[in-house]
Amino acid sequence: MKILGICLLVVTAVFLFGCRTVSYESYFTDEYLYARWLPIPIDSNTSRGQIVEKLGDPSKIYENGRIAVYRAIVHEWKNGMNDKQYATWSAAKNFPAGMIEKWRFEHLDAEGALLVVTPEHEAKYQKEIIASVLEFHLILVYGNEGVVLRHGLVRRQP
Amino acid sequence: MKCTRSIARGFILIALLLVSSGCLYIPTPQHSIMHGRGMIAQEAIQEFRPGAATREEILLRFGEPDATLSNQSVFVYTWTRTQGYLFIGGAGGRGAIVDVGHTSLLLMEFDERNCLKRVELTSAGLFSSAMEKASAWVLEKTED
Repeated sequence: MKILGICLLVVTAVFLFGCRTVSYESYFTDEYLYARWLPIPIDSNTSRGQIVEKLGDPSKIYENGRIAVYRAIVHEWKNGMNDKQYATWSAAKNFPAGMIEKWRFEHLDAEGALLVVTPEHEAKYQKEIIASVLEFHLILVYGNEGVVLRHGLVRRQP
Repeated sequence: MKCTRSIARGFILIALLLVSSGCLYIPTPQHSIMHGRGMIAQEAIQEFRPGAATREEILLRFGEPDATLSNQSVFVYTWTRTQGYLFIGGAGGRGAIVDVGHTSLLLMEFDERNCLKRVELTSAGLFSSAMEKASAWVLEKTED
């Protein structure tokens, strides 16, 4: 009976080992996203011109441009994703997360590229946007002088 | 007449049994996101009160909405979570497992001062898409 119990414990441990989850929260904090992926430090001295120079046009503006939203994705296909790569990604996307996600995030961190999703980019980079695993929104509120008054970052996925 | 109805009911029952014999639906508590942004919790929504919260605060908290309506005066946030699995059996032992989703919508309307006027957390209907539901919500306002 005792041997059976030990065997069950070993079998359970082996199964649970394959089910462990990756902690995205610690890997992709706001601090990490600001430091790793934004090409410009943002504070109350940053002007609209400096931001547009580094990030391009925003994805959307509100209240006559007072608020600008950058919908940013990070993807691992710097030279564009071809049809074969997209097919491979489609086949692998339903694998259990723990098997590929950790590797993928480490690869993204080292080799990834940032893309601001604008209406023009949406058509041009459709595959990269669909396959992207990291998306965040940068919200910028400008003051009367055209400098950043407030800003925030909302992680959309993972 | 009574006999005809009974026969009709019998046929319907047999047809239903034939259609559904290879299907099994297992409901589960809502979990894991199938489509759309991460879930927005009820507690997070309750932080924003109509008349007090602004569009700026909402954007800083929830990010870019999935859609806007009525010249950006209505924000639509939407996400779909798995709420069950449908097992479909086929001939020769073939079959499929399909995730069954529940789509939630967070609808927010702003007034001309950019203040939150109306907010509702709702679900897309069984036979209507998220955007059809959102458009109907906008019209409700007009009828009031």
